[in-house]
Amino acid sequence: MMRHKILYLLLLLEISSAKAQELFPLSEPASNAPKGVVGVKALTNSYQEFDALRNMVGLRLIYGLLPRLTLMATISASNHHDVDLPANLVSHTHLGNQTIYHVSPFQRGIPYPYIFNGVYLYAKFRFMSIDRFKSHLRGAVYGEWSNVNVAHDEAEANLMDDTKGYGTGLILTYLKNHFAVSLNSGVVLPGSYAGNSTSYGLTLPTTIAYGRALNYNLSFGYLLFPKHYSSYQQINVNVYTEFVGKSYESARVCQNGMEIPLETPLLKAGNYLDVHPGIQFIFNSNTRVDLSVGLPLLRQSYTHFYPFTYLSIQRYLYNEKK
Amino acid sequence: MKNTILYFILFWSVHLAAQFQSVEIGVGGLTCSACSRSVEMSLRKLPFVDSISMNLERTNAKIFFKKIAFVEIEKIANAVVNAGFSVTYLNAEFLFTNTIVSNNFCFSFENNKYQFLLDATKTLNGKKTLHFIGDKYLSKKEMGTWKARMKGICALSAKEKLYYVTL
Repeated sequence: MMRHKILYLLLLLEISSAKAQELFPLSEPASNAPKGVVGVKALTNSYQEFDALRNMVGLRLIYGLLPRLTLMATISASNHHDVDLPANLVSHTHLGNQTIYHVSPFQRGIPYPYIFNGVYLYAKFRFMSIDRFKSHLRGAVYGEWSNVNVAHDEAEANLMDDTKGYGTGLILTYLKNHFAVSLNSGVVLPGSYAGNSTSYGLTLPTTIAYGRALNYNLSFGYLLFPKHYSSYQQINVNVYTEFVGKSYESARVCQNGMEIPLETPLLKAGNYLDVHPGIQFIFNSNTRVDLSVGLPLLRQSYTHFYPFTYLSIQRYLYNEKK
Repeated sequence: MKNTILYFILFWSVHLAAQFQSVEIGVGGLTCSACSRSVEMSLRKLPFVDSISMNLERTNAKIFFKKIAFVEIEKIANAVVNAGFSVTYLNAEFLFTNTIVSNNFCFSFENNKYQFLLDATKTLNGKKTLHFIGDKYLSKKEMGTWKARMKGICALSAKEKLYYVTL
């Protein structure tokens, strides 16, 4: 615990003396992709859940439709969940003649197969740009949609890889010289998953309606190298610290048409704040490799274990025929 | 009659057989080499651009043109905006031959009209830098003092664009 506290202190010290860039590994900045340019991103995240290594892989297409409007489409696959809801999600006890049903804690760390999650769409519109010499303040709004329909068994909704639904929010990014800070906050209005859970040999229709969520991310970035630009061939090294927070409502579990009381924190309302220190290498001023590691700062998410590692590679496909 | 003569002297557009030598454009909000590359790639799409020299330390770009090509200044500014940045200034080097210019003097060049905004009459000879005036070429703060002086005086045909310039 003491070791964690020291690590966090070091991270905060890094922030206070930082100077950085806005190409954050996890959070989108308020800036856009160039108009008419397609970008491709391959991304993956993973964490160890007891004996099971959980992993998500995604492929994203990015397109600058207008100077102020960026569109993204991501498909993903993961081994986060089984093909259907856990068996014995709902158990019961007897009190005299009465049968009391409840959602009990279920087993974690079971290996699952990779399944295709679905499609996640994201659109970002920049409504404000105050550009100065080597600085800018930008504001954007975003909307997101997902048709992901997997047997997610936690209350917290994640549109890209866990739950279907909608989301919208606001981004404010300030950049001065090599320092960047960005606030990214929004709501998630998830849908529900309708599947089956086996209880005492009976397979019963079971629905989980996930809780609405509020995201609040604060990201800092700092350009380590180069100190002075001389060519596009210089490898850029940026370091980042991203605080990723979320509050979410309790899920509602219905089995056989009956709402079941919850007795596991996994499906109850919660909130947490993670910190994700990260590093980024940009080659030829285009190919971007991001790596970050997520650690719990205040409470923790039940949708992943820690450390939560993230890796991505992104490139814009410029037409360089000239 | 006197007014008509004055009108002709002041506002009759002169056709200059010259060439844009180069353009220097200031890019606002630019701080990273990947962003600089986006701007360069956006500018490279313009058919009249021959080469570009980006300076990330000074956050500007020097653009050189193909010899046989119509330079469209507005498209240069649009290319910077399309890359996600803004234009803080746009200066073009233009070759003059003993041209007397005064406030609201108009000249025609490559199917566009250029109107001078000046405080004094000047004789231009050789390579001169024209500073473009307009919402697309200056920050809002810089535009404040020019807005009132931008009264379209040059006669335009249907396909012509009007650019305001100063020295």
